[in-house]
Amino acid sequence: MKILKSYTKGWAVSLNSKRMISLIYISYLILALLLVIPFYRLFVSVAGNSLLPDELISNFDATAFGEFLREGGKVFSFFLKALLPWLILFLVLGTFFQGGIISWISNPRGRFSSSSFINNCLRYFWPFIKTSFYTLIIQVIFGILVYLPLSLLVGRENLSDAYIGKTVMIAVAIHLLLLIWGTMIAEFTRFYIFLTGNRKVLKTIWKAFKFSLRKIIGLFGMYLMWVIVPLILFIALYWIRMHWTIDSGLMIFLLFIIQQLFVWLRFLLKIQKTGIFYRYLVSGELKG
Amino acid sequence: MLNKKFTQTAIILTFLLSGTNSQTQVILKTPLSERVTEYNIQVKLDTETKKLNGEMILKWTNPSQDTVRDLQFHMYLNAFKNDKSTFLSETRSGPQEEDRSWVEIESIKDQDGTDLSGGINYIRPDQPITYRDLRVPEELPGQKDDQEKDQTVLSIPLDKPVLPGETTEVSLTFTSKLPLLRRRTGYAGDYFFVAQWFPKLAVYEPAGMRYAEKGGWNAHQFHANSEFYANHSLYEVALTLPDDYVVGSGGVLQKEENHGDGTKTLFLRAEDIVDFAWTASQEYQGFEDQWEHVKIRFLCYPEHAYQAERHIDAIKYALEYLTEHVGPYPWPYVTCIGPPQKGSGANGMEYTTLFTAGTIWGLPDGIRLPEMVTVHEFGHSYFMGILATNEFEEPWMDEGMNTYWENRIMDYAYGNKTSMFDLPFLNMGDVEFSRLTYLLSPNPKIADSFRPAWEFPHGSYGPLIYQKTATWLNMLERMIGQPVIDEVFKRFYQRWSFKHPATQDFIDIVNEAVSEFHGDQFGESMDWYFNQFLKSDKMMDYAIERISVRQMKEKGGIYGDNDNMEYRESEKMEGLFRSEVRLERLEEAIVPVEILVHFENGEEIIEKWDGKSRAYDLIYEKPDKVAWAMIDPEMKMLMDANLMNNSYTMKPSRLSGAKYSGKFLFMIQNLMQFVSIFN
Repeated sequence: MKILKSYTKGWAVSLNSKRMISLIYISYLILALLLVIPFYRLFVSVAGNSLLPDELISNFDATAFGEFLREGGKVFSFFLKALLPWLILFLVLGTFFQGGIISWISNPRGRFSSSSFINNCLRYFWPFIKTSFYTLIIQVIFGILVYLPLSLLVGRENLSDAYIGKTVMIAVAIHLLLLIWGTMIAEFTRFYIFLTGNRKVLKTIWKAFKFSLRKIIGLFGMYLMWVIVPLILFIALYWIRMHWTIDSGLMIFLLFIIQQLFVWLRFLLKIQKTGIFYRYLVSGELKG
Repeated sequence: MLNKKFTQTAIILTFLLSGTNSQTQVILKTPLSERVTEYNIQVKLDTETKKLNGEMILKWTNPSQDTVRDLQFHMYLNAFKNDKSTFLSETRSGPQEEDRSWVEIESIKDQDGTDLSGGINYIRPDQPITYRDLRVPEELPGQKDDQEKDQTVLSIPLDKPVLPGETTEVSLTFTSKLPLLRRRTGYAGDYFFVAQWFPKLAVYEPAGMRYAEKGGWNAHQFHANSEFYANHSLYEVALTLPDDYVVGSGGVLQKEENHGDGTKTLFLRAEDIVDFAWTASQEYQGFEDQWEHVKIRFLCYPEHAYQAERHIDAIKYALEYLTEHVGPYPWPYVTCIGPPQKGSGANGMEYTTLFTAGTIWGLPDGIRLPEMVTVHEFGHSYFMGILATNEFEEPWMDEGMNTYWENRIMDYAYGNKTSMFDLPFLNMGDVEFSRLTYLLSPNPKIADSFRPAWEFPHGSYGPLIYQKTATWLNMLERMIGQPVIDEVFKRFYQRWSFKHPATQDFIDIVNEAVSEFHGDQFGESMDWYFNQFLKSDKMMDYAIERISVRQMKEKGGIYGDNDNMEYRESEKMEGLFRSEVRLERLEEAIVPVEILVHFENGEEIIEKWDGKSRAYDLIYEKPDKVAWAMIDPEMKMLMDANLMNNSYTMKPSRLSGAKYSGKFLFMIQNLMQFVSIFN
């Protein structure tokens, strides 16, 4: 019952957070465009006045794509390399927004104010960035816990590829569960910091760890409920990509709009998840 | 449909029952080759020591007018005996102790019982190795005797020379130690793939055959990049091994004897094949099917059994296509082996009537690697098996030609844009794959393709032999037409099957067929084509440098002289435009090209250019402007290294840029949400 209540409250919070979601979406979009606009210019410059790039409009064409690689491969690879620092920047930005998000979902009434959102972001930035750092370490430990035994299991001689494949798949599934658990620990750590004002991050992580371990079945149940909508969205997007022929300016524009809507909805779902877990925590742990 | 039951063996049984006696039943009614060599081998596999102990009787008929005084054998397993072998010198990767292998002749006698072993002498026909002279000198410091040199070619002087046309017989005993699976031979645990395992006679080339100015043995050391060259032979092999092993081989099972001591002997016979390989494992699962007269057998490990149909379908496509476009497959059987993961070192190799494919558990249907390897290796039944070219000296003729046919079969069977990859967001045809692999290789003009296998520098053997050859053959097909290239290969098959053709034999047929079908449209002969793409490192790139369009003007200036001088203005000629299409040849290769010129009113003109000059302009003075132009509008010129510059439009579309930038943006946005798992 508590899970259902948290789930519905999470939805209500996220639907009431459209302005905040849009603010976050636009911030990320601006950063992403800083990479994409030069990419577009490079693409156009490599294409020049050739008709070959037209082959890439309606479908993927390996020959045309190969020519692009030959012509601009080194420069295109620069953009891919540039992604790593960019992703670190996104990680920091994502952490920065957490203070504002939690403050808002703790009390989502009234009109959303950008300035108070930013103030809350700033207020919790330091403990939350420490939380992110420790979460990173936890995730690395989870990774080691999964892949070290895996390498010992599959590194033996004369194994069949079916055994290796199945073992790797099981390991990846376990790692996925641990990844999700790690994000839950991080989420609850931030909630505790926000709710108690306790800035001793390691101690709070330990508290969040114990809480999430105690409630692990309920939490994963709630996660499963939450994941249904993103899955449906993903399948819908995949269906569109498979069945639409993107061969005109209008179709490219339509696809762009749908993709951006998808990204916006992902932010909404992330806020919803945070809302669900927040409600779950405050309705159980802190009530008593 | 796969048929696991052994019910479709009528043809084989017919062959078996029509045999001359119960021990040696012929497979083919009439010999397909001259069968200058006949091997009768009794061999026992020791699964513990990974050794083969064999007795061999070899009959050889001297095909020349020469008196031959020695026999030369390939001792391939000695390539992994020590680090001074030619093979390991070239690869610079010495194996571990358990990887070491060797083959040794313990005794050898001629038909009179004379012991020949005293004269055994290892020779190195390929020293010095040209482009690696400095690294592999003729004599390395510290080399004392033959035992420290390469031991992959053996010369055995005969006590009694073999006269022209005479048949000699030698009997020998040998031991082969198998390596941990390496270069498609050896063991992995209890899995065995046994190839190049016995002393194998080299090919004696009489004067006039291929490049031979005088008769002699054509033998080469086992090189890192090289394959093989052998006579079409008759093989009778009695193979003894533990009775729980399932065996696949290049022969037909004649008889099986179970000894009651945990071992069995299989009596196998193969006719007119150039090599005899076999494999044994306790875990093989067998599948059988039939295509016309050919019984198809597929052996694989249980975890790959669900992919058996993929392999068998690919074999059927290849059989059907090659039969129709080249010539019939003469043997009534073919066996395909799917090695297990631990034996993947045996993947992708051909032995005629037996070949290995390769797959990975869980590989999606849209990644057609298993089909590609199966089609390729089966294709070697023709290009190496039937047309037994010298793979040492002219590797383009087997790997290159065969890759061309692999491209055709794959595109025919699985679609020309999907035959290699057919995934939701990635598709690629096999012809495209070959072209891109060649052009994206580190240095596509590092060497020509007409050289011995071991002389390809810096890892260029693969792209220059397989993919470059396939690409220029694909281009040749598009230039002269598929019916003509089919006719070329049919004639090649008819004239040279079960013989040893050389490069010029193929070129002669191309010249003959092109002249017959196209007259002198492509010149006196097609030698120019082979000289550029096979025998040189030239590349090809034609480009449209730009198109310029301007309104035409009256030519102004001062006209007349003395008192009659008149100044005329350069006045615009309303409604008339001068369009200039500037063409350039950026690389060395010269090929006649077609250019499609498209005008704004929809009019199109096909122009022809001999492609010889470095620059060529097309100029039009017309009421309509040129909108775009395209070199090679039918995409025949696959060797063109840069297709981006083959076209030029006055109004470039930015849609593809918008589409891919949108994709890139979406990818970044999703990635940045993914990293939120860390906060």
